[in-house]
Amino acid sequence: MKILRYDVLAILLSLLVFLFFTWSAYKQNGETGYLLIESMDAEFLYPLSEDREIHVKGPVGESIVEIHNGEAKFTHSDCSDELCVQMGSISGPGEWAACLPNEVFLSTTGNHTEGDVDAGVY
Amino acid sequence: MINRVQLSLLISGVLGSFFSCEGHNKEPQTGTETLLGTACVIILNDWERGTDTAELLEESFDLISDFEQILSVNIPDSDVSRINRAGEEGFRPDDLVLNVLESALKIADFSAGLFDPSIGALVNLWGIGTDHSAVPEDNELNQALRTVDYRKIKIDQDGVVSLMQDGMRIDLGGIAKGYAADRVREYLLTKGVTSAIINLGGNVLLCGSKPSGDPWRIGIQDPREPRGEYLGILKTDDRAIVTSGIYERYFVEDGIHYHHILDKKNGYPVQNGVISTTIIHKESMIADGLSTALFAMGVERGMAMAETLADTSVIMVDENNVVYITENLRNTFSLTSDSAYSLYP
Repeated sequence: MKILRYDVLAILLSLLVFLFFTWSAYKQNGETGYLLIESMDAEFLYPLSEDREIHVKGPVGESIVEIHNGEAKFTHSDCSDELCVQMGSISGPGEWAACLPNEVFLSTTGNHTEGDVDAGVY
Repeated sequence: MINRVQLSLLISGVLGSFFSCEGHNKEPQTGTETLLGTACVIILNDWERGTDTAELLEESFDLISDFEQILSVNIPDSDVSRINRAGEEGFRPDDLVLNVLESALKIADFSAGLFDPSIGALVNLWGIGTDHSAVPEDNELNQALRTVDYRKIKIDQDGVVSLMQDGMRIDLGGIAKGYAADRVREYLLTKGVTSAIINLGGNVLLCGSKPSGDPWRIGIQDPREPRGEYLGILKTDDRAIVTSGIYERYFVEDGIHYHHILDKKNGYPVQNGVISTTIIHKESMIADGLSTALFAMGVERGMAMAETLADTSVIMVDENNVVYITENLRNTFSLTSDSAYSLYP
């Protein structure tokens, strides 16, 4: 059988489709993750790629959350024990930290790397 | 040479692989609530077509909240509090509470009382994890210790629970999170969820495997580092993973570290060289109870017992940074590359 002009076109089209979706998947994986902050009465979403400091009000006062180098953490909270600050940084999908007395909850999405875990047990 | 059949296979292969990927490419749906005195996170990863994931998350948290209302020792009108107030006179709790209590008594029997649901007065006395934690006086400890004996919890044929020792208080906190997680998994599976993670304050229960079919990667907390630093990674599916450690609830007084796993013999926190014990089991409630019991047994007895338990895996860490694992974890657990721990043997 001879290869017709349309066969060549079909092969090229298939290759283009393949390359497009491979590129899309690669681009999607390379996207930065996000930090979701949930408090008593509001939710905020920030990209982890931009450094910033966020002040969140809660029932016992103020909690301060910092985004730095793609990671998020509590740097201060007006709770009695600051266990939230001790929880350290979060960055991978499904990771979270919380200040229970001040009812502030942080969780991160996306930004998956090979070393990440799906859940942490403690 | 290429013929038309090969050509059409190539095209359908390329398009087919795209559409099959699309089928698994659901954005995980996450819900978070503060319940059972901790942060509860549920992540739905895959589900049957037409499933209302937002409703499932809401219902799941409602279930946990309902359990808390009847199981918590900190809620004055919970069934557990009513049992404690009724003492010897007895109280007939909800069937669900009976179910949890009977399971607690089985674990107590199995562990010869190292896990004991009647330990409430001692837990209350130390107040670890509350803002009034303090080392009790010896006479207070002795008084509380006299009230701890699970064999004096009586359940009659009508389900009435009586505490046959003055001052006894039951506390089901040791397995309540596990019980709640098991029931939420049951609920999600019946509603068409095929892949999910239920994380109740660090007690993790996995539903199925990842949508890709790969096992989940579960980080086991490094007891000496801040939360989120792992000593090792476990690859597993469809299992509960629960850790008891000295690092989670504790206080320091006069330079001494007092953690929350209490020894019934002397009333003080267990001091046997173990710093964390992780149980992997199909039921979260069993894993919850066993993690306390095996912690209290110590490395030698605990690991020997672990090898005799069906369908159970154990990871124990001692104060010399040695990690002990059951034989059935050889191929699925590994220390992290920069781990300060060594694996035994």
